[in-house]
Amino acid sequence: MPEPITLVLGGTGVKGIASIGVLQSLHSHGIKIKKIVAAGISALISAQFALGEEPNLLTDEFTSFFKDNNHSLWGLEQLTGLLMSRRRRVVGSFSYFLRERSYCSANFKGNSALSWETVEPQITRLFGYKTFSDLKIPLAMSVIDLKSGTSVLLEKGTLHYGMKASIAFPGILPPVTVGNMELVSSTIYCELPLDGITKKDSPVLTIDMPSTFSGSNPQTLLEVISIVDDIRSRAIKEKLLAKTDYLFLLEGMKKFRWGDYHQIPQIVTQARNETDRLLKRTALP
Amino acid sequence: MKVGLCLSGGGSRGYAHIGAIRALTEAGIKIDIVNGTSIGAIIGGIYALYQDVDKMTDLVKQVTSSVNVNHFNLFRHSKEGPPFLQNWLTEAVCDIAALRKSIQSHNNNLKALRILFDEKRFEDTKIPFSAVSMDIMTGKTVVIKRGKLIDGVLASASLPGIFPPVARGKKLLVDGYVLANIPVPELRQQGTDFIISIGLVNAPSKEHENGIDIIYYIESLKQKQLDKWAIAESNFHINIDMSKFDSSHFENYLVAIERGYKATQKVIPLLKNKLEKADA
Repeated sequence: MPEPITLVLGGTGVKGIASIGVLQSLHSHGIKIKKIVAAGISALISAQFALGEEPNLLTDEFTSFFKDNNHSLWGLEQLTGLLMSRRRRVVGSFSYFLRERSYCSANFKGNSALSWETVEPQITRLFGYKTFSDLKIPLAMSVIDLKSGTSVLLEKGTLHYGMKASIAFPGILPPVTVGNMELVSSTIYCELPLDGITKKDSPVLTIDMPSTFSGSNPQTLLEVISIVDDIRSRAIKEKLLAKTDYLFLLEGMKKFRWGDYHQIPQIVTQARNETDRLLKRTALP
Repeated sequence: MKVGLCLSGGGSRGYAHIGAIRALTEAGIKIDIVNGTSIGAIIGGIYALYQDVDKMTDLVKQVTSSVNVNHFNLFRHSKEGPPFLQNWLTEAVCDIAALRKSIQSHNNNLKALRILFDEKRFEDTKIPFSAVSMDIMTGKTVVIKRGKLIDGVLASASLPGIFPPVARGKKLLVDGYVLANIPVPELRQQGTDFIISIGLVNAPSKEHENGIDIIYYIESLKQKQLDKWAIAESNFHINIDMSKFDSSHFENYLVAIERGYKATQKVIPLLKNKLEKADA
């Protein structure tokens, strides 16, 4: 009888949607999960899975959401080009300038580039006001509380708030106030929520969906800053990975960027295939 | 036993390092090797070069009186000024952020560093010294031990966003604080047996007015974590509380020096004890 595992899921931005593929694969191989710790969009997907629903139903939801809101998201996808400066010089450099500038300006004048108006109704429609106690598998959503300056695991209350906080990526969406806390996503700190993992969670399986390191000469201040922030998050992730018992490194995820929302089905398929392959190679407890 | 001194980054708070060095010197603690990041590299550099605390203080005084040391702080007057000025500055910064690599050039920094180091080289220092920088092309920390002091220290103190990265061969160097604000492991790699590290504690503001503040705050949390891991590898860490120090004004150096001196003096007996034990 295999020992149930604690599953750690993260991923930056849109890449968190890859968790759909990961969960499908683990489920079809009969891997028993005793708890999920998730950050970013992975938290939404994990909630769907923990409610006993098919996570793949969300693939179409996400795809159509980004398609419908392509305009109001003012090219989040292109903003990911922040670290793709070589390509930028060839195509759409003026558009790139405007995106960078408006991102900067929005964050100087307000809390974020987007408001909750676009995203919140979707969360409500999909999950209503279900609570953590409705979940069939315990789930902890990793977020950062700006008031205390610590990372927090949300395990109680309405799922709705947890999901909002999990995807409140600083700079993109505003912080979420819950009680005395002011919460943002923890993926900007470290894309994997390993901070809150303790010995009693063992055995822990962590799914790492790495991104390519820029390695190119930055052209703007925003590019410099985002490379620096990325370097630090990587260093923290590397150190915290020591806490995991098993690591699935999905190398193929490197070809996707955090804003690649036109490639959602591909992201999911890639993650599923790679997890399948790793499960064949790795002996879990 | 090789004793090393590791000086952390922290902007104008770093003048406290001079006070700390004074306290260590007065206590007769001999330093064999020194390294530093950012302001830590500036102070470490002049310490290794002159080994004279009075001269160091004089040099700082000379720099503050002859170079506009607050030039990096674009918003220094805007808070008192009319709101339209602040709006205009914000718009200007957004333009810069999307068009240029940094807000300031290196002109003033070079002027200041020339007063401190002139044409001296790393090879000229009285004790071995290294400046810690970060290469953003590879994401790796770079330890600079050769060449002109002014070049090495400039690379170590090029705060990304504010100052342009320094090109050195294929490398693109920025302030070493990114991964090694307290460069203890880097000093250990140079064969140091006992490391005395000096950190400058400040409490980043939890209040935020905009998204930039939030992102900046998360960065300060990362910094705290990375510092914690570095301190764990030090043999003796001295924390200098600089939380109520206005770090945007470099002319407050005397206050900073005094704080560094007092904080270090307090822990000297403990440090001596540890040093004796380690040597035994």
